[in-house]
Amino acid sequence: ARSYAVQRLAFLSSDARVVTPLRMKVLNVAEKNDAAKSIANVMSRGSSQRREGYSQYNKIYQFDYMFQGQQVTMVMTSVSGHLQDVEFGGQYKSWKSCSPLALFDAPLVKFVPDKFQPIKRTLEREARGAQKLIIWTDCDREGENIGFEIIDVVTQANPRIQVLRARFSEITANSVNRALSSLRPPDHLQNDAVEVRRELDLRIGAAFTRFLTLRYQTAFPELSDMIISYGSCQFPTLGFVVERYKQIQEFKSEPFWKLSTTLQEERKRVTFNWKRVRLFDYDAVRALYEECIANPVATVTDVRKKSKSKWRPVALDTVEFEKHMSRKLKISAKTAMGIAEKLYTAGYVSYPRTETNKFPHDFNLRELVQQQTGDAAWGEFANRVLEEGVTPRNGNKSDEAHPPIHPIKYAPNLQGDEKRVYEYITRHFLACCSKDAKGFETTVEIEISSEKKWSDKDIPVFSTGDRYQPDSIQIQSGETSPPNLLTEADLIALMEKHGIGTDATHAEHIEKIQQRSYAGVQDNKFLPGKLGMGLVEADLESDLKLICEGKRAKDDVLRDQIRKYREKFEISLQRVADIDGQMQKYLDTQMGEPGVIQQTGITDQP
Amino acid sequence: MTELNHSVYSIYKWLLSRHIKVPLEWVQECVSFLVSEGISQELMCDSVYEQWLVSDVKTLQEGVINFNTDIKELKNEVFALQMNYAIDISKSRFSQLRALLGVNDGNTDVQAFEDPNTKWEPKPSRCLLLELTDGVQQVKGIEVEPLCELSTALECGTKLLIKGPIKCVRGCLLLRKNCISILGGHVDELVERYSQPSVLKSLLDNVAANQNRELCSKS
Ligand SMILES: [Mg+2]
Repeated sequence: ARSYAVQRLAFLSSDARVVTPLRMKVLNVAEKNDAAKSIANVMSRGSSQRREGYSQYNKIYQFDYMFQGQQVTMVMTSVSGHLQDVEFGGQYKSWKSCSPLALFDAPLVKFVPDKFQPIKRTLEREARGAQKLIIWTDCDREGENIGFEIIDVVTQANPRIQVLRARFSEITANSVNRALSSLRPPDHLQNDAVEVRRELDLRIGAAFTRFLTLRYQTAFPELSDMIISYGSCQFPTLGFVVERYKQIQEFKSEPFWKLSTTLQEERKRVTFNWKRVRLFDYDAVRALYEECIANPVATVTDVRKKSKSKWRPVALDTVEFEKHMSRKLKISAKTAMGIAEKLYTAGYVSYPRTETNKFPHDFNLRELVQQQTGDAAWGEFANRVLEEGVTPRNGNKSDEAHPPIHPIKYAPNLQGDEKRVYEYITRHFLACCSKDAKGFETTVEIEISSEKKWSDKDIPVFSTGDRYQPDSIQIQSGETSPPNLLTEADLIALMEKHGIGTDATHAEHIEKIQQRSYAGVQDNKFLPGKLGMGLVEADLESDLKLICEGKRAKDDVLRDQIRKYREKFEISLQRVADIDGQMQKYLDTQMGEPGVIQQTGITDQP
Repeated sequence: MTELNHSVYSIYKWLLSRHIKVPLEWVQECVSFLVSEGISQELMCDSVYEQWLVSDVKTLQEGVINFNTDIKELKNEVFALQMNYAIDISKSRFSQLRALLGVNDGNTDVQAFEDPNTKWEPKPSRCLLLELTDGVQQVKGIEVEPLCELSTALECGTKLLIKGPIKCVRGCLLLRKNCISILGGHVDELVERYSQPSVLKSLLDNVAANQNRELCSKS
């Protein structure tokens, strides 16, 4: 009878305090509200009760659950990404008025910013009376760090709570159940690595900002808007720009040679490429060439036909969207996100910050395609998609929060860049929902003089065993060329590869390294500025990996890195004349795009 | 003929029967040295052979064959050569040198968009170039078929046996299956001089020097 009463109370009440301690309460916290909702939905099989917390964006989902052999009350809520921020403490709180060098060892404090205070209060309230805390943040470095911020707040409210970490790759019944049966302590090593990076970003960013402010606020008042900001992630990002620049500087070009031959078949001349592609020794290529010339009969050794689909594009997530905007429309990622957000607020497209590239099964794609059929440019294509069947090409990523980016309603009256961005999203969406174009690819291999093979891809009929007299056999020469400077799209790809920042913040980090004139852009390619070159020498990423692997201690790395950066910074200070010159050039070109920062040449102070 | 001289000549003939051509005087010196080291007669042949494996054939000055012809098919010839070094000519020296020095160029492969031109290109397989010498002439051995017994890790100064039929085209021996066997050995001095990084580096410096020369002659 008693347990019945408890259950009834828990079920009816919207206030957690009424639940008696007889029954275990488990607090679960996810990284975003949508994730909390989805996880709760999976665990409770759709029967969770929603109630309010102090933050209107972060709901609480409550349900009964069989956990580790007993009925417990599960309470699931969320944060909105990072809960805490790091700032200078004590007298350095207003660091905008101290010496830049002092910022390398000024004390730091962690705090919960005002905008997240409601979330903090919810966590504190729900932590009371809970026996266990399960962290459900994303399973990456950043997510581990957010987990520790939650733990910090929760254990201050309830020091006896047991902390557990759920590891999951997606929010499905299988994955969630697996995570629950293999709960572990959170990984403090990954957390250490993120903390090192955040601390360095803060110190260096602030020191540099402060330095620029001191030096230029009076001389260039127009600069003050641009430089009084700092954040995280700009150093690894800048690192990629500098790394590529150095690779190009160090590159040594080398000559190579290759053989090519042409055959005449059905009045079509076919060029065959060397299977070896190229060799870096002329004598060797000439020897092979002369052997061919001595016995110039080509025998077809293999004909392979492969049906080859021209794949329709995968559903669009934020990272892909940014890359395409930058490359195809020449709109910077930051600007593109701004436009997409405007389109979202106006109800034209879905939420543009998403890691998801697959549409849910029950999504009404037909209706969305239907809306586009009246358009003069792509209406016909939309009609064909409806006729042939709406079959989206899905990727395999999902943040379980937002669908891929897609148009929500037809928008015939947009202008300028808004029109271009909307059009891109719509065309991508329609193409994604269409059928693959079918085609064939044929690869033919021939041998000349019994050892060398060539192949080609798109050719008339050849059959194995056919013998031909080649039209020509030639030696072609070429030269290796250095890698290209990074484009913004490449930079986003690199940040994604190294897990730097989140999909939502790539664009801002890239913008920041430009704003600070660490790097400049020329023809959509990134060039490091002198300051950037100086600041990036220290190899932070590999040290962070060592921390994650438990091979180096956090404090060790921090001390080392701070010392290195401090030295670089001091050298930069000594080269202020260069910086002045760069700054002037930067300002000269500020009217349009952020300016190019010259690599050489010292300009007199203005 | 003294007994020692008789023994020297028989060892000389024995080496020849194994396709190793060395000056008689060298065998003589070698035997004298080995006798002074207390090597017994029974072990003498093998010991001389081992001495040859670790000698630089350049110091023996005994040429075996003229490689500098247009195209020549060496039908039944069998001869021994010394490999000074081996490098892979299917990849640029620069990229190999960076890889050897442990420079991580992994990020250069990260591209936002695939290059449609290189997408279907076959992946080139290894092609070794061996700098070979008979002591007088140099010849390049080109791995035209994959030969698993060869590698860039072979010690500099390794001795090889080449068996015809094999084609020699303008100073290049086209190495195929069954025409090469590794006898072993090394030459200390070459091991030092021709380490992979230093060979790659000097070849790369040559490229740069040639490019400079071309530039100068153009202007
Ligand atoms: Mg994340």
